[in-house]
Amino acid sequence: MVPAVVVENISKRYHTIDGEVPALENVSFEVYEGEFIGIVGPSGCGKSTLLSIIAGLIEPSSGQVSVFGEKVTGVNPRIGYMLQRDSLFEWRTIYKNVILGLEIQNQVTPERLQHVEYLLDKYGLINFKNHHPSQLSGGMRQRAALIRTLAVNPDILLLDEAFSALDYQTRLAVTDDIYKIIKKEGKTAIMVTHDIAEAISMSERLYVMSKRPGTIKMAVDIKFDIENRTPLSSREAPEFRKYFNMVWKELDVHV
Amino acid sequence: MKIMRCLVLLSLVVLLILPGCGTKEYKEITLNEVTHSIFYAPQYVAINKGFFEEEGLKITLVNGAGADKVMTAVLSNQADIGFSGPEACIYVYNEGKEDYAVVFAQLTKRDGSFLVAREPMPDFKWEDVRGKFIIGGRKGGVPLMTLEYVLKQHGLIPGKDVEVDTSIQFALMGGAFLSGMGDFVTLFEPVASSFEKEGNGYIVASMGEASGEIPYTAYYAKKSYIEKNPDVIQAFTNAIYKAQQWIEKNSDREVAEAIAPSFPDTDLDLLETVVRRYKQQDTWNKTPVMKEEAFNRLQEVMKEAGELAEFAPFDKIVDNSFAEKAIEKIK
Amino acid sequence: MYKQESAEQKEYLRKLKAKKRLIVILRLLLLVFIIVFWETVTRLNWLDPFIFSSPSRIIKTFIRLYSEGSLFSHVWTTLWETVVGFLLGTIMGIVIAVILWLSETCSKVLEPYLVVANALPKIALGPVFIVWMGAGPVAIITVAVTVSLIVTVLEVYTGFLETDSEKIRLVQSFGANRKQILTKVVLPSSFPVMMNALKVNVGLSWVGVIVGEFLVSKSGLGYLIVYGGQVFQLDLVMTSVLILSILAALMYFGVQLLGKWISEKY
Repeated sequence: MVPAVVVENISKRYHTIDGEVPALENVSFEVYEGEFIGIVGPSGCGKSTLLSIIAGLIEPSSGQVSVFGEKVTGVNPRIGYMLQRDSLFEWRTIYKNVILGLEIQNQVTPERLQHVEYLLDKYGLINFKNHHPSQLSGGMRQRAALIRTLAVNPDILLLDEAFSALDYQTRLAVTDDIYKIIKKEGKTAIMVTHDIAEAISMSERLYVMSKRPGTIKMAVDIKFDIENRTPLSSREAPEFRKYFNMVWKELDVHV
Repeated sequence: MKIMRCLVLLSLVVLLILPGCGTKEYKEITLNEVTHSIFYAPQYVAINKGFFEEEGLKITLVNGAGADKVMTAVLSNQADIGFSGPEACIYVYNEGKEDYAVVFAQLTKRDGSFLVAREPMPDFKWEDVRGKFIIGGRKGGVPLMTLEYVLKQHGLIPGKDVEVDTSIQFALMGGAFLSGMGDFVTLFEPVASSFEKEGNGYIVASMGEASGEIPYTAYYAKKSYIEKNPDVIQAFTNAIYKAQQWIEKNSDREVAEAIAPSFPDTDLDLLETVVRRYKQQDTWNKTPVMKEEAFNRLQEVMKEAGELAEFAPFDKIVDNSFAEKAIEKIK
Repeated sequence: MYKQESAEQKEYLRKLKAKKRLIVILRLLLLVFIIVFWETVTRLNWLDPFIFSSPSRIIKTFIRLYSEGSLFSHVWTTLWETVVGFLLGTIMGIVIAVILWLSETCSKVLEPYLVVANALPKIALGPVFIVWMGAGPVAIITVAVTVSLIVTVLEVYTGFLETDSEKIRLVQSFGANRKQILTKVVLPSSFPVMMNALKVNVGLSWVGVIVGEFLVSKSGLGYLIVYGGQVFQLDLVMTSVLILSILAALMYFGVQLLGKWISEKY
């Protein structure tokens, strides 16, 4: 079976007048279809850079990324990228916001629009179709951003600190929500976060990165003895603590 | 002559750098001229030959660029003495200003502009402009009024028999002609002669000759200023009269040399040509006295042009007493 | 939300309305006061009515112009020149700003030239335009356009640059090309900046046209100002200035309303 994502020896060096800054050093891993992968690491270790490279927004200095066997050379419609801020356009209605990706990719077809309606309905935003982002709560906006990402039907979702802008309680509720949506739609997901607990509660496998220049220090397979685990239920599992300590020790955290 | 020039330069420097100190008994006067032209040669002679200084006056010369702006400067006390067409005084009086401006010395008695054509026309008659287009200057200004007066005298009705453009500001008329507008344009000196020199136009007629004696440019000040400073006005008038006499007695070349410092960008030969032309046309007053009949002809021209509803009284607007005293004093 | 407004809410709304009414009344009072003051002061000769004119003289002049039939043609001349200059300046300004945004090389190369052009008093070029294009409405409109053009370009372009980079990254993640970034993110988010530029241009276009008319004209409000000054009919000058101010204010509010209408529609 072809893995969904193969990251091979990715290195990235930034060039400025003052010199070269190494951001990533020889990062390699694989992700299989349907998996939910987490990446944690100290600030500045290059996690976001890594995601941008996988998404095709940045070119690596060396190494390559393949998606379903094809080399990534630019933005790939099979990959959906969810950023930290929802960046919904205030001047558009929610409906117009979520079809933004379809507009850009020239995919505004009746089937796609039907799918969008389905998503809006399923995830509780159908009554807010004609509202503006300013009229929605943080959690609702995040859901809208997710629907926008899902509207173009990507196979792989990249989540770049996608929930950091929310307050703690909302964050717990939203991650739970979104996890369920992603699993239901059968998407593959790679999530970058600095919240260890969040990563452990959502991922099946967790990669811990070193400080800059980032490289993979440790891979942890996360298994809970729960059927149909959710982020909230995972947090209560006995094994949770074990994983947490394992990861925490491994992280190069400087105070 | 060189020493005189140095003195003038030095006193101007002193005037600029040490205001109010070091200048012995000189009274500082701001004189606002309607434009800078060889047409006003006697004035520059008075400045450069030190006649003003002899009378105890230090002149700061400002280019007002328009009769209305000169008058405005005088009325708002930015200038002590204004130098422009006396029609400004008539307008101000008629519009009911209480402290109106009074003329005390006349400098030019004819229109100083020339009709310029695109080709030389040595046998030019006024009839030749029939059906053509002349850039004439702005409504309300005397150059246009004189042009229309002359045209009517030769049986040509402006607007019907000949097209006269009145939309362009004075300073831009030459430029508009250069850009290809019109068949003729009226220009002052030195612009008219420099156009000829560059081959951009040819002088075919003199407005001054065609129109007869009209007081074209004169010196005036607010009535209140004259009442408070009669000695300044007298000194000024004396200096002007000296210059008027000096021009009478000296050759065109010498006049050109005397005014050259005021026109650094014009060459001496051109200056001489223009001076000769103006002298031949009897452009300059020989004394600062303004004649009543000439004054009334000006009002006639203005009335014809529709700019004057009723005549203003000569004895209110013109005060020849200073001019007459100057003639007595200076023999 | 209470369907039934509480007494407190009613009181709050009533106070708000009263305050608004008070402001309108005060504005009118101020206007009346200015007019009365002006008229009195010139009648008593504390200010010279020859120079400052007075409301009664202005009304007389206005009526005279109207009965002569020339009022409309003067107003119309200046008005259409200003509107054309305004539209041209704004549209060209936005187009140039777009071009600068689309090509980074272009904008870097042109940057110092734009800064210099902005600092240059374009009005000084008025005479040059007249020699170049001949005396007439074309030159006048050109003066109006140049006065507003560079300012528009710089303001709008800067507005473009300030577009939220996160939003741009977002559309890039969907594979948007430069043109799509422009139409879907930059232009809509720069709408307030563009409206602002329009409002500024109203004033600038009027200035440009009046200056143009000072140099070349035989009709128009600027022409009346020049002519009035020439023959010392300062009432004419004041009347024209007043009409000018009213028209400029109307145009400004018109643009403001247009902005509101567009933002509500889209």
